Amino acid sequence: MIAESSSDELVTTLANGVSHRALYYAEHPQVAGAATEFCSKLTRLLHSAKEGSFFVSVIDDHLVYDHRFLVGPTLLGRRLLDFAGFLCCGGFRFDCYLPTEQLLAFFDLSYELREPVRSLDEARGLFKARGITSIALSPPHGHPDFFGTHLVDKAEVPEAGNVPSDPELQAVIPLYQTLVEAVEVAHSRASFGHEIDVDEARTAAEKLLASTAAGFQDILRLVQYPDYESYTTGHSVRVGLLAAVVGSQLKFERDLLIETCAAGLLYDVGKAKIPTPIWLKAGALDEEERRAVETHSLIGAQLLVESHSSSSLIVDAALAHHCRFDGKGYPDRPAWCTTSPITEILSVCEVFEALTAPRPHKPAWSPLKAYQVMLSDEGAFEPRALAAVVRSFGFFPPGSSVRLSDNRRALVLSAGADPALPRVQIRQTPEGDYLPTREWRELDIADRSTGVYVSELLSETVVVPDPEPALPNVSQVSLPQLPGLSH
Amino acid sequence: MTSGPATEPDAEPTGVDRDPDALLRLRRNLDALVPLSVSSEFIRHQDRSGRLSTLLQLLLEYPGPKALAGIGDNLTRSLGGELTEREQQVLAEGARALLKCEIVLIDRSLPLILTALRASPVQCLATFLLSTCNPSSTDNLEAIWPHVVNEFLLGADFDAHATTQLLGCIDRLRGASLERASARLAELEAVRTSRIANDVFFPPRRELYGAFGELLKLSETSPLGPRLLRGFQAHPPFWPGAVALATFHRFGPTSRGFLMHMLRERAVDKASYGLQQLAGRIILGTIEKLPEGLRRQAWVPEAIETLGLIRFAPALDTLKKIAKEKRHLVNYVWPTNCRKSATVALEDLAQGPPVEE
Repeated sequence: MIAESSSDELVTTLANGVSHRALYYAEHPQVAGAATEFCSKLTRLLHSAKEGSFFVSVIDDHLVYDHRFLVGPTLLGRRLLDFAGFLCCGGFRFDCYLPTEQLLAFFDLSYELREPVRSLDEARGLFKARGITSIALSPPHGHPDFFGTHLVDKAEVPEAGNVPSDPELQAVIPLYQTLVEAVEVAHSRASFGHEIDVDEARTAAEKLLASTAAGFQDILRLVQYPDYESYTTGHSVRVGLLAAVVGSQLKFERDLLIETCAAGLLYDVGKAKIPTPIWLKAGALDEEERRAVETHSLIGAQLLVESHSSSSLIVDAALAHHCRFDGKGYPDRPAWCTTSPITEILSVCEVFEALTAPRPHKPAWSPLKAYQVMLSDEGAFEPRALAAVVRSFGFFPPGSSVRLSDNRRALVLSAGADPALPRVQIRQTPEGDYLPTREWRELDIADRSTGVYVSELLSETVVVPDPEPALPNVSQVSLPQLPGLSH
Repeated sequence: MTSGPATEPDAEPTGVDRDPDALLRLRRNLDALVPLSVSSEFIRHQDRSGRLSTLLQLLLEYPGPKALAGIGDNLTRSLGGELTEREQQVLAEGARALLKCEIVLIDRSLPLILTALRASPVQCLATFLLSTCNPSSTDNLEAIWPHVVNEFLLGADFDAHATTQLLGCIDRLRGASLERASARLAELEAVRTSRIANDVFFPPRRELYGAFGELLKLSETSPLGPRLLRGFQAHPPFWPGAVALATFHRFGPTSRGFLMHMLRERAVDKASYGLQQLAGRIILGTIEKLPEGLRRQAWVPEAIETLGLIRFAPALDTLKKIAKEKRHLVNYVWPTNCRKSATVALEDLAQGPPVEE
């Protein structure tokens, strides 16, 4: 089997290829790049794993590989999932030596197929007609000829610790996909020189806020999943989310909150106008390329200000998000310019996201490490904006899993006034048993009478249980007990 | 990290989760930081200066028409209501930077700011113009002059102090600079749409006369001419011969010539001998040809009396006729008030010619 992170990365590339094809033209470097990258990775990984093909299945509207729900790829793979649905199939099996042309034909079909076929046979006929012979379509999950291993009845799956069976998380995955879609469409329109519809981002932000009235903890559980394309979509989605959390914590009025989140979704849209080869370049950028990249702020602001539905807040976020509090950064700003507080907050969120999210070249850092870096970079941030972010996420951000001092495992609901003392919801017993939903209990760690403190920040890995379920793997970014944190 | 907030750090920081001292320092730093965010005061109390900064900075980037329109819309949406000192400062600084750019950019951009500012109390507009206008710099003055005049023409109701200061600035521009600036003024809203406020004419503002004169020079057929004539007829300047304005029924070469002469002289309280004589000729010509049915118009007695006030000697015979002429030896030809005015005018004329200034 292909390792977990590699399979995530592979399927993400596939999902991105389908998305790019929907948003760009067939020969666009983003599309061609995704096809080339997927095929070469596929061959390399299958060689290493000594396997002849790679099967990614679609189960309950989620992408699954080797019994594991691929949360990150699912978040970005709305179009791939829809394509599978149109093809009446339960997944795709890719041969080790998949020719790039066949994958490009697969991408083309994903764009051109506008309604469901009547049967899997018809879908297979379409593939054959287009010369796609190295990608096989599986019957749906549950069919006797399904390519993969059948999963247990969902009812047998434990409620907690398993993302797709967790109803709260199920509910927010489509929401996350909506945010992704809003960002992708904006970037696509920008790249083609079309007007950006800021209202689409606002609508996505409104949906987010409508669905997170009880807190952001569920959707924030999704931000930890890597999408391997840190410079655009996923990054912007996460920054928009984080900004919404900070705004909510600061008790912004609804309109300002929507605007703040939309600004987070769109602030990087100028990157769509930077030549794709620069983004796809492996290795360090030279001086000229770096300068080209740095123009994205100004370009983004110019694109956004041309939109009939833009606002000065959103334009400001695009222009000034790389401007430092000490006046450095880019683009150059006249001395008389100031930066709006929302942009200051977004700047902090942007860096916080970059530091705490996993990337292909680095693991996720703990918030504490991120704060250390941010604090040591004197003059980078408006102190109150930085404080607002620390106050919103604390050392244990909402949505993260933590182990308590009594060995129970909990989901963080919100940060506390003290960053080390969040409000949590107990989800597992000290012995590691999952609690049923009705037994989830909230606990305010700041309440000293509980005698409990957070001993460890965990990261969540999602596993589709085998017929003999395995406990979730809880590879973790461990934190020692902080001075002053224990009671 | 000096080129912007860190986004993709090169190396993982070490020690924070292993070194108790590092942890303690970090904890102290964070503890010191967190109280700053107790509330969203810094959001609520901060003004719009950040957003205005960005919009103004974008203006300096020579935006295309679509971006320009977007900046204008955003400025309009962002402004309105009272402005904080900081917002005023950003606007003024941004505008000063703009005024150092090419004229074409200034004339495309500054109206966007001014239009947006009109939604705020007029004092904000006045403060903006006063802080942007630098009378000691000819370049600055020429750059902003059309826009200041445009605001007056549109009827900005500045307070006395701002009015005096801004009119003083307007009045400083002369010669070629004035000609160039007037040509630009002709393209701005007030002149282009002939939306000139009545307030412009009363009280008479001699500082604006130079602009009006230049504008009239630019075009013989502009709708501005009739508008100015109507305005000055409703609110004539104070020197005696100005009543000649009332004699014009329509805007034509004579009225245009008279207006241009008057405006060039900036004749508000007094006029030159030449202008007075011109007014006399116009009045006399009109009176002599005035049909009987029109002699009861309100301006007629004043115009007759003016011929005496300005000692317009060629009017002597006509004045005598007005004062004395009878029909069938019984009925006076001219109405009583006209005859009385003519009598007064004749007395004035008898005192000899005027002293030329």
